Amino acid sequence: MVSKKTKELNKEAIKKAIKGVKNTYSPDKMIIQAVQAFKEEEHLINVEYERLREFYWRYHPEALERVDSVEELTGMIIKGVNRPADTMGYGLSKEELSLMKSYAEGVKEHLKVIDLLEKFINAETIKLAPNTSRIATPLLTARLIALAGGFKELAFMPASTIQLLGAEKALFRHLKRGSRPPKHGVILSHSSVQSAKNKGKAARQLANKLMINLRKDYFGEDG
Amino acid sequence: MKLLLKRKGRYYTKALVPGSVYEEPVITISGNEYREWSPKRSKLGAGLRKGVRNPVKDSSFVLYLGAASGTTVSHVSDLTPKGRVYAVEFAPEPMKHLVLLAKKRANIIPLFANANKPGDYPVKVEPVSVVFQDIAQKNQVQIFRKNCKAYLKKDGTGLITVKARSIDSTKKPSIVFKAAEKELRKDFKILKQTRLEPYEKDHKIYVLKLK
Ligand SMILES: C[S@@+](CC[C@H](N)C(=O)[O-])C[C@H]1O[C@@H](n2cnc3c(N)ncnc32)[C@H](O)[C@@H]1O
Repeated sequence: MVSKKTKELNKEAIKKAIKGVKNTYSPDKMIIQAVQAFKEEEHLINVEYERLREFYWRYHPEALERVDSVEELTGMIIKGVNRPADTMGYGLSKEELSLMKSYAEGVKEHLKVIDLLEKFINAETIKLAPNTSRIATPLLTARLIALAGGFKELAFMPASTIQLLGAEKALFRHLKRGSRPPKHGVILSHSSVQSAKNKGKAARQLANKLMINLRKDYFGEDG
Repeated sequence: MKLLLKRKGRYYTKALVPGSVYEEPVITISGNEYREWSPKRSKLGAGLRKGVRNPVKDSSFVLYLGAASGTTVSHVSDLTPKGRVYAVEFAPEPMKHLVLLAKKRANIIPLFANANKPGDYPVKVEPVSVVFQDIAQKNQVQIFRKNCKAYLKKDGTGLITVKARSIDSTKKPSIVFKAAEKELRKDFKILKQTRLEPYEKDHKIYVLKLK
């Protein structure tokens, strides 16, 4: 039913759209995906760590008192450690033990992935925005890029907007209901803001510095 | 066979190609598939529920601004089996969905372009009888007027959805709508207007004719 002319136009338009879409590649797209994945893995690993502790609590509760990292716990379970004779832990079957070990191996894979994500984010963000990364750390720079929706978007933002990235909810509440305006978003995590007495002022100064360096990075001047 | 059906208060379009597009329910009536038009996922779908009349005929040319991944465009494509729908979208990720949809639906002409530059569309756009816009941008009314000036036939119909918060999040919606209406009236008569509650908050849809 669709006319021949329309069909031809459809083909032509599809061809152009494919070409146009392909041309929009830029490295920040994958950095943003990596930042989101990093956040999700972080959450996932926390949840799994708690589950793994619950598993191990059934088997060897005495040991858990001294364990305070997921790396340590997965290592212990995979390697296997001896239990004291008077343990409160249950005498688990082969199947039960092997389930716990398989679960720990799964968690270990997630630890590998999050490590890779972090390395990727660091390396790629330093390449993309060396000056900003030096000031803000690559990870914070990458988080800002993700919150802005892209490197270009971030590079064109006024300092006052950069300062509040990650505080959108508080900002919206302020505009809507007149609650106290936020003074800082994710840049709060930066050491210069953390250690400052006047956090609002430090956030403003940092945002200004970031803006200047983002523009240097985006327009390709050396620092 | 009707292209648009109303049953128990719900709207359905006759599927140009079989199958559901966005997981909407599909019903079969005497051998023909009809796709349910969700008022929650589609603002034009919401508009129909609020009394807007379908302006798309079986051979209409439609210019659709802000196509996203093609939820609403798919229904418009159903409604115009002998016409075509030029679907403009400038964000690459949704455009990929739209291209996949257009590969299955030959009456969709996907335009990867900025609606703010109607002179720069990648293929030639012929005069259309309907311009529909759903883009939620500060200058959306201006964008709409430019496109209608360039492509809408004299007796054609314009439809625009306005999202108050996108234009000015600090003002009351009613004030934002008033300002948008004033701007629209420069070129158009407003035939119908309605809020999209309960489907969308602080949105309005306008049906327009060129003056
Ligand atoms: C609310 S969504 C549209 C949803 C769609 N109409 C539907 O019902 O399926 C708005 C879309 O407009 C696009 N958009 C915004 N401004 C635009 C512009 N100037 N040119 C082209 N597309 C634009 C956005 O990328 C987004 O995908």
